[in-house]
Amino acid sequence: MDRLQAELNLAADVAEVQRHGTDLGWTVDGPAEIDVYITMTSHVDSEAYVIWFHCPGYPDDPFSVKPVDPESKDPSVARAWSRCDGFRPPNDLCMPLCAEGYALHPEWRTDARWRWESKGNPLLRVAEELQARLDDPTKYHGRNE
Amino acid sequence: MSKQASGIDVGVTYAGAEKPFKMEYDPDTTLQTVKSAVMEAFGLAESTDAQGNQTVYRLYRGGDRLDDLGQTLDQASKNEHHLQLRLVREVIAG
Repeated sequence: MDRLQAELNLAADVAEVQRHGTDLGWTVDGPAEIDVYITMTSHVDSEAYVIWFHCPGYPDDPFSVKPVDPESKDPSVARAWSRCDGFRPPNDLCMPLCAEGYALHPEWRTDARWRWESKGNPLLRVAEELQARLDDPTKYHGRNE
Repeated sequence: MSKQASGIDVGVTYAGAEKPFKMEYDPDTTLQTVKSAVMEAFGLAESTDAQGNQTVYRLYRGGDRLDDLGQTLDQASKNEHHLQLRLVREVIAG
């Protein structure tokens, strides 16, 4: 996909994420070209995490999803991550919702249960799923130290 | 005096769908009935694979997850005539 088209597609969906995110307490920073940062807070322990979405092929291709340090925007900072099922700090999310997950499990791309869905607003869909995970005490176990 | 509405207008958004689900239901309808209709309308299905990995979908009202799907729309809407919900996917590793 043309990078400029991805930027335009992303900008349109970010507008909806900003409207929707207000109700969920998100702070949405971006888009800056193909990057968006969403700060979301776990309702389990009120810890806030900044999630970086890097979306070069938006919405057709799965995008990169990584927690980052709020100041440096560096995903290699271990404390930027949560201890959460599917999160592998400080490397990747092994889940069928991001580029890293589909790279680890190519079989997910063709499995009807796990394949990437570009319909609707994928950024909002993924962000909602991450928020739900951070709010679930059976899957979220606090900040990574 | 305005006529009191008898049904409850239910709206459900799913970010993976093009349009929200909208339907008027009897107040005694359960959330489970609504969820089933929403899943069908959006072409979604819950699943479990051989390794025990599950894909499930949860209903939310605002930031609150609605786990008791046996409650009626009257209860869930707190006697209002409109109920706005979200459907969110959850993947559970086996």
